[in-house]
Amino acid sequence: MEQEIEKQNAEIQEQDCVEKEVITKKPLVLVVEDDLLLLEAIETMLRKYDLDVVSARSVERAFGAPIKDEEVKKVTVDMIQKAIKHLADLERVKLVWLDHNLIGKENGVDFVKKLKANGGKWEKIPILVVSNTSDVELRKKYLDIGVSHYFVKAENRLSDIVTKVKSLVENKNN
Amino acid sequence: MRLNTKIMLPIAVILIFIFLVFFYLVLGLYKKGALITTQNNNYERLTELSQRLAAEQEKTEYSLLLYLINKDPKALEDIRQSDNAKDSEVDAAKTYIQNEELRKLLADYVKSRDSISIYRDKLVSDINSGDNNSINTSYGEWHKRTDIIREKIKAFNDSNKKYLSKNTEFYNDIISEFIFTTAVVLIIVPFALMAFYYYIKRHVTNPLIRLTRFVSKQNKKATNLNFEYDQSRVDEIGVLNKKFTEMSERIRNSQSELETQVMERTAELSKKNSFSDAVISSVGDALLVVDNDGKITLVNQAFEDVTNFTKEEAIGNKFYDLVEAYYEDGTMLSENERLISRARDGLDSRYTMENQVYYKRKNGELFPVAGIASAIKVEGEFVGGVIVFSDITKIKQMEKAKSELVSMAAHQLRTPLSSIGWYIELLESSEDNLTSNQRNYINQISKGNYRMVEMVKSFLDASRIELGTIKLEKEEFDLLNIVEEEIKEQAQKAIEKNMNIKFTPDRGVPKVFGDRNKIRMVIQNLISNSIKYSREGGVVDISVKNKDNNKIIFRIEDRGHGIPEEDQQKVFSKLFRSDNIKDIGVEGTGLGLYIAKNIIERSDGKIWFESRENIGTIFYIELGSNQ
Repeated sequence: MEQEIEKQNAEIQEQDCVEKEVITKKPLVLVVEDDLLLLEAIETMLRKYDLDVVSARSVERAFGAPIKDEEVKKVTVDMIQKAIKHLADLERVKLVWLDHNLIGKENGVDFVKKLKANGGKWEKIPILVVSNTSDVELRKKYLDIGVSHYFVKAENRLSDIVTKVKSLVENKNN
Repeated sequence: MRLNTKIMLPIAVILIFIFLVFFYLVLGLYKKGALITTQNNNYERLTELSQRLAAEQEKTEYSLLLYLINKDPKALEDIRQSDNAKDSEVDAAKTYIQNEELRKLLADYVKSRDSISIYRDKLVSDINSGDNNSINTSYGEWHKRTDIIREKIKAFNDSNKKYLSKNTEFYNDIISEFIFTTAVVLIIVPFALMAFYYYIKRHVTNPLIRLTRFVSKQNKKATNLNFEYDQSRVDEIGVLNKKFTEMSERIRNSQSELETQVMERTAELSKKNSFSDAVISSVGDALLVVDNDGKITLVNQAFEDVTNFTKEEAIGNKFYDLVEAYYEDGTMLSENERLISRARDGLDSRYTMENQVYYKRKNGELFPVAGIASAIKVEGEFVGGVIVFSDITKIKQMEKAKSELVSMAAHQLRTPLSSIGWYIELLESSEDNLTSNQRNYINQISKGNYRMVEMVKSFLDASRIELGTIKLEKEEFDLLNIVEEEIKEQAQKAIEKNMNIKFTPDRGVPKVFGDRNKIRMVIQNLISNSIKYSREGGVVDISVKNKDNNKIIFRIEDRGHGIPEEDQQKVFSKLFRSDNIKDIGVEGTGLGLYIAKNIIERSDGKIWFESRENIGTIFYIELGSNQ
């Protein structure tokens, strides 16, 4: 998996010049959240705060748009374009909004570990965990592996979290 | 001592006495016989003496006649020698002669002999003179005297013989007397005594022995045999037998009556006993009884099933030693912490779900236990105890499953609650024009959502406590800070109710040792409650003080609705809410104080309260410092 990511990174660098043209000025936030309703609310609110969003519902997809769709079982040009765009977007990600429970076998912890393992710029990207688990142990674990903030869903107003995101992203820019 | 022996004993004594008497008599007879023999010997010697004296007399007479005829001087010499011999013999006889009569006769003889010597000397001189006339006269005189001597000797001899025969006769008498005595003493007396003994035995002792044997046999086997006896007897023994038979008949009758009664009572009792046995044995929980040493005296079937120890293995052993008890962390309960010791000491003697005590089965397996012990007291003295306990593994599993379900459900609820909450926010912040009514509705939805979120949070905290997944940190922190922060945090709510919060901090309070966040949760809950349950415009008094050196007391007083007395015991139980609070419509989950108590107790602290309905409530928390 890690090798794959490296390979992908290499490819991204090759196509750097092409991608730069599509870059917008808005800071990009990667939202990893499995619940579609919540995802939509989060995206809406982030955009309201003048932030760009790229999203995924599983760890696998967070690192790359699927080249091969299991359901379709064939690769289309559209798919490849989407994948390339996703990778280009990943380059610009300034902050990760992460849920703990995700689609698939891997959860938020696995995501953070993989991200940190990539090193480089990924290590410095702030990660906000927004989970429905208020378990002390889990919170401690996330903070230990380098997560900046831990929010419990429902107990926090969306605007409060987004304000935090905004301030973090802007500090980064400065 | 047996009756026969008792009779035998005097008989034996009498026999011994008789034998002694017999020997004494025999000894006497023997002595008498010996005396007679000596006497007889004497008589025989004296007889011989008289015969010799007679012979010597004849010799003397013959010698004198010889002298008369031829005047031989040798004849005179012979006479003199004969006289001397006679004198010496008589003198010898005088030493052993005992019979007075014989002694007298011998003396007579000696006297006659002395007198004859004169006539003999005259005759000798006449012979020497040769005068025939004188010789004739002298001879006549002398001869007359010799006859007398002969008579004297004969009388002595006769007397001697008479005594000898008399003595012999006496001796014979003694012998026959001896034979008679022997016969009487050695044969007749023992036989007579034996006969007497057998007579007594037959008529007195044997019937008594038979009676005794019958009685003892009767006692041993409780047989109902009839006592057979000689019914013709009319003496005391006969009467005794008859009366005994009558008496035993009566005893037998009353015995059988008694037996019937006993059987009836036993049946009744065993019915009762088997009923209580059945009750004990069918008690679904393990039950045991111990004495004041803690030794098991009774166990039921469930005890055997739960512990795997059989009744035989259990009874007589100390319960502490047989079934070991452990806390959840694996430390063994000391003897004083065991149920029965606590019951004896008058302490709370229950193991509940919260105690988390485990017993060890025979195979070493531990199982969670719920139980209760009661002291058995007789006149105020502890004599033992009854313990009832059960294996609550399944209940615990169910409780766990329940808590897990609650936890899972609560987690799952968070996602839709977040959706609601966050979309409300989006709605509120939308630029679309909403009517004031619409805004009001949205506000209400938002409030409802907030309450639900709070409820879910409480449920999760409670289920974490129950599942034991809550872990308390050990850290040093400033309680004053927390209290101040929480007061600030909740100031808005107080202001909304027009309330006043007074805080009196004791600045010298040392730092508290415990889990900062959890204790903050408790403080938050208590402050929130005091605001919630106060009336509009009320006052809340908060203070933090140092008690002793290492104890810190947090105190919060409100003048609110208070807790009704009948509810005060239930205040810390799960999901409990007092009716007076429900009536006034104050929201709550009934979990806050349950969680608070758990956290404070697990932090080695204490939480308690004083309250009066419609007057107010004071809650206290006591925590330890690091010192």
